[in-house]
Amino acid sequence: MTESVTAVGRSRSFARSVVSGAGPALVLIAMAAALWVMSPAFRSPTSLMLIGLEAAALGLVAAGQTFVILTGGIDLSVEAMVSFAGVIAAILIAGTNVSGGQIAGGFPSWVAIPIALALGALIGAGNGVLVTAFRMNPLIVTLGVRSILLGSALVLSRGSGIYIKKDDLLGLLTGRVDVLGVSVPIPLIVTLIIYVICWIVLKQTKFGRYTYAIGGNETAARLSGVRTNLNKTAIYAISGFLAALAGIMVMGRLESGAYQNGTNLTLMSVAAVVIGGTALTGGIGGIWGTLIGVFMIRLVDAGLVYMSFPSQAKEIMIGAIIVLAVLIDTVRRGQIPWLTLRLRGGDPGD
Amino acid sequence: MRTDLRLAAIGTALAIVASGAVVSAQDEESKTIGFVPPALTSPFHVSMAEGATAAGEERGWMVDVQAPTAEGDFAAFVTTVQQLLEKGVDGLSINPIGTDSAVTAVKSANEKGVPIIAHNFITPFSEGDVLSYIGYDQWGGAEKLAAHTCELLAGKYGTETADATGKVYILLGIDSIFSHRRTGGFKAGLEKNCPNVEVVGEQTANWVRQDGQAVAAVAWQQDPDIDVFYGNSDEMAIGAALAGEQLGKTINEDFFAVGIDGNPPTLDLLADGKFSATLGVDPYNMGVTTIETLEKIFNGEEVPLITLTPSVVVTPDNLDAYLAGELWTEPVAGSPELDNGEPTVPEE
Repeated sequence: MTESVTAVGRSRSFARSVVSGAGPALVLIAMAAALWVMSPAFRSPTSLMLIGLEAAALGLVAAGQTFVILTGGIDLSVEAMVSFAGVIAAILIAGTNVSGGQIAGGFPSWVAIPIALALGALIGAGNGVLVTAFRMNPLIVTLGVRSILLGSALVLSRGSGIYIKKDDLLGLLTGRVDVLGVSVPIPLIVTLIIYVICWIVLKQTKFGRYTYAIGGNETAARLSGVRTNLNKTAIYAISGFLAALAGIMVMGRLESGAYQNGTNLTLMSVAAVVIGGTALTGGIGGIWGTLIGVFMIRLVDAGLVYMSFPSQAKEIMIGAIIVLAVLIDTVRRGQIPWLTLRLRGGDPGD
Repeated sequence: MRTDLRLAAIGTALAIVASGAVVSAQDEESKTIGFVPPALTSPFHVSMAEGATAAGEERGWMVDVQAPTAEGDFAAFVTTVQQLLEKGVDGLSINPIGTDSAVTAVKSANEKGVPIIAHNFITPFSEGDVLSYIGYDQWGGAEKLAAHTCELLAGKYGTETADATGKVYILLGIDSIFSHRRTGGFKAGLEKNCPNVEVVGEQTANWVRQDGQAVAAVAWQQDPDIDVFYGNSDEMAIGAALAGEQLGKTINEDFFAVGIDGNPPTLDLLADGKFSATLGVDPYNMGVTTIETLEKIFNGEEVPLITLTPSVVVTPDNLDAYLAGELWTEPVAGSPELDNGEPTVPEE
């Protein structure tokens, strides 16, 4: 009797894990299908390309955010880093702007981009050091750094976007490539490559396992020999680096480095991570869920334009869909005690 | 290389005008216009969109107003324009708030041969073909508001306008061409009309009411004799007016609050005697002007590269006339506004 019950329980929990894993993906597919049916304009290749392009920058930021949230932290400085890195790279490329004019002729982008990315990683690592070595709350540290970065970007750019001319490298980085006749934005390809790397790091390396361990129980992780401070610092550095990379993508696309380039990305990245099933308390989750969350957010954004939804009310819709997506996910995962009790008929052994 | 680019630009411009003409010949009645504000989070942009929508309806056109959720979300702005192009619009009017941040959007419209104009700013992009920039002269408007401020101070202290004295505090918007032009023009206006009036301080209040209130309250602690708070936007000056009220000062007796925009909330306060003066730029009619300009473009008429819409100092005395639209004057061809510390319209 016990055996059969366990077997049923196992197959049930396996089925549940598949369903819960695929849950957000199913919602995403359903949303895309609905939009496909309702809006002819949405079906054009350019529309799909635009969603891919919009998903790229958010995707990069959210990938870094996933690592940070997996450790139980949060990085509120990411949107400022997007702006800051874009402004730094633009200044290096174009020179700074004086009274609306430009001093042309600076560094080529193969010099400017690595400098901006390195600064991103360095400042991210700075976040990590403040959080670990100085025992400061990540919420406050990254909020403060966010302000510093935004302020610096504002001072450096004097409040107006720094216009750049794209050279070959930047043109390539922000361009498109034909894959089987479909024009795919290179930022999206870069982002997908980054996601594969993140997935390998999280699943196949010690560093990845430590990331989950720290989020699960930091003290236990430390006691079992994980150098938690070092790992966490590296994770904030990754977040800073990826945000800076997103900053380059946005700057290149807009051909302008401005202190507003990262607007909205922090909250959206956290939303994407949570929609994707990563717990804000850390330790649980994964990178692919985040990517689904990213596409879900961008699909909603685009859908509202294609459906001519009144712009003033967009935020209501976006908020409602985020809450709904997370709700569906928690229900599917059976994380709600009063609901699961009834569904399972009071099986206490699971 | 340069000439090639120019030729290409002229070619594109011609192609756009031509395609516009062809479209208008084919389909006279119904047009779809994409109208893209930086966001609809301020009454100013809402009222401009309403003007455009109403003017469109008069012509039987569909005006599709789409905006990012937050001002300054430049990437979303560009995407929105490109999505409207995918939906298929006959013309576009856009208002990016970052100079040059929407160059890519303009280029996309150019590639598709869809005529594109810009509203609420008159600083041409470095690249891309925008057929007309429609907006008011911020520097000149701020100068007018300064001249009125001189009169207010002269009234308070019983002097001639030219001999007026007093202390002015400036609430700045976030550092940008907008804050530079509005501050520069105001200072120039004070210098010209009442050189003895002193600017005792300037601080950013980030365009918003709460910050205007906080900055003004602190400024008064440092210098209780401040006579005038000038805000680069109305909202910040309203904040200062509220701060004064809370400190037991009486507006229009002890101090004045003046700002730029002429938004409906400001006009209500003016009617209630809780504000001193605003620079009314009539966003509703500016919105109407965008549709009129697009119509001219569709008809193959010439439009000026810079279309200056009027601005007028609105006080409790002329408020009714302003609300009735009687102070609106026909837009005129103007010159571009640059962030160069000089008046937009060269002085004789």
